[in-house]
Amino acid sequence: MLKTRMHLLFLLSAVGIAVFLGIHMAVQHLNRVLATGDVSPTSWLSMIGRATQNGWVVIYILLLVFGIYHGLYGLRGIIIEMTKTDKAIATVNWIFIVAGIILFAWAAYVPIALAAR
Amino acid sequence: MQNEVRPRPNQLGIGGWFWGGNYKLERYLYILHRVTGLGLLLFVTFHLFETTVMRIQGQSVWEATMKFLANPVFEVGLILVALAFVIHMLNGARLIIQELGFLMGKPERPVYPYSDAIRRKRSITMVFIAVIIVLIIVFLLNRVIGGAL
Amino acid sequence: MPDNATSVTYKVQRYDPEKDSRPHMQEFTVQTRRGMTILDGLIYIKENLDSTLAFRTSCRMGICGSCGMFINNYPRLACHTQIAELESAEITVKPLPNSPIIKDLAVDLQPMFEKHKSIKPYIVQQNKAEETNLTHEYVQTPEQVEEYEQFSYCIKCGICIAACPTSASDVRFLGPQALGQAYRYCSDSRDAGSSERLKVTDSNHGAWRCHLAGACSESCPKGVDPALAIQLLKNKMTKQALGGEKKEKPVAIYPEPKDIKPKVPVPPFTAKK
Repeated sequence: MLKTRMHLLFLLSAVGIAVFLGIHMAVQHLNRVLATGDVSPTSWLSMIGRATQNGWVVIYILLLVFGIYHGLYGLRGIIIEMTKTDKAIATVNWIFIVAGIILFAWAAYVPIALAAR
Repeated sequence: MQNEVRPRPNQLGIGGWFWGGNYKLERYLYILHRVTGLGLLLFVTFHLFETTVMRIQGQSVWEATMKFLANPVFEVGLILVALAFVIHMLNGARLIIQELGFLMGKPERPVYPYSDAIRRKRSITMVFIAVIIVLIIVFLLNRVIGGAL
Repeated sequence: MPDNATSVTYKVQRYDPEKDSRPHMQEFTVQTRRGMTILDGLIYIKENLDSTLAFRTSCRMGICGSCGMFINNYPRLACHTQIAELESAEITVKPLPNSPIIKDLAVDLQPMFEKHKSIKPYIVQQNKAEETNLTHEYVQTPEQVEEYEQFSYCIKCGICIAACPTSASDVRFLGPQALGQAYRYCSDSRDAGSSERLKVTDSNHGAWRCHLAGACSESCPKGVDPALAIQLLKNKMTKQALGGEKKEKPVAIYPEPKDIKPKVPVPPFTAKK
């Protein structure tokens, strides 16, 4: 039942993205409508302010995990529907696993490094 | 002796994802979901580049990046990304509910003219489309009243 | 000439593997009468205009599944579609997409049958000894029958596969027909083969490549609703992946009756020979 469990994780990560991206959207991209008080969320000060708060770092890293898994699994599904051989699918699987790990490692390092500064 | 004839492949291919006949709404919601998903993936790649490589280089590089991105082309792109996000999230929520078989009802003995569960539960789809429209208006409103997008 | 006589133009896709390098369209003019089906028109063409036209037909009443074709941009049974229903002076008839073409309008449905076979479309007995020596009768309540009855009306016409967008690009996708039938057997209370079938549907080209486009259910000529079957199958697969379904009560078995009352003797004939 491995494929089913992977798909369920895909659905769970979708819910996770909806929650954390919802928070991200509410604070940074719906700031006027929801009156969150932050006039310029993309300014350096505002951004650094968030980067140094542990709560935000946790939210960003969780969003990263869910986003990478959901995005790469979805893309893998689309690619599977275009391939004919099992070998091609196995190759794609490995490429995505490696790419996902590298992407996560790099993108998780940045907010932690910024928070530590 | 008859020659063996190999049947000719007749797949619609990837074009078949977009159009394969005069089908109803849900088949097009599927391709919209796929297109928005790919669009979001593309955006996330660029966004991760911007928030890692650009951010880690310090304030001056960050502010230069923000200036570069203040271009109207990128603003329109960001609106499209916001729309894609709203559509993909809400259609995805509908898919999670319906794909796992919830709220789909029970099998019914087919009596002509036939109906199917997805069409019988069209109201659920319509509720999600209504929420999509409302959220799109909220996002555009935020842009109009001068907020970031 | 009967009343309401009009004529329509049939644009039929032709492909002779021994002569043509690619399919092409050919036009025929067919006189119509009230109640004429697309199949009637094709038979008229074959009998009077061009006898080389190849297509499948058998029951001409929508139950054998032979005459599935792509008619005016929608997959239908030719025998089940009235010319008048299409409300068009032009009838475009092509073979069903997503199945290889043998000749003209006849497609190779063997891939569909192979996928159907792979999901074990038969009752797997609870007691293995019963497979060779049936001694008991299974009993089902009407509610148990209703769980799978709708999906048992599949006539294997291949129209759902023609409609499915995943089948359009993925030749190895099991398809709505096989997946729907996998659920039909898994949800049958007499069957004990769920775990074997779910292993087949839990593959890279199995149930999770279905994305609920719903075109299969929309176009199914018998109202089988394979989309519902696939979503219920996904529900079953989810429950199994998360820790197994509740063990269902064994199906009532009606044993060989032992205490048979003696037969009532037939009364003598009253009519004299």
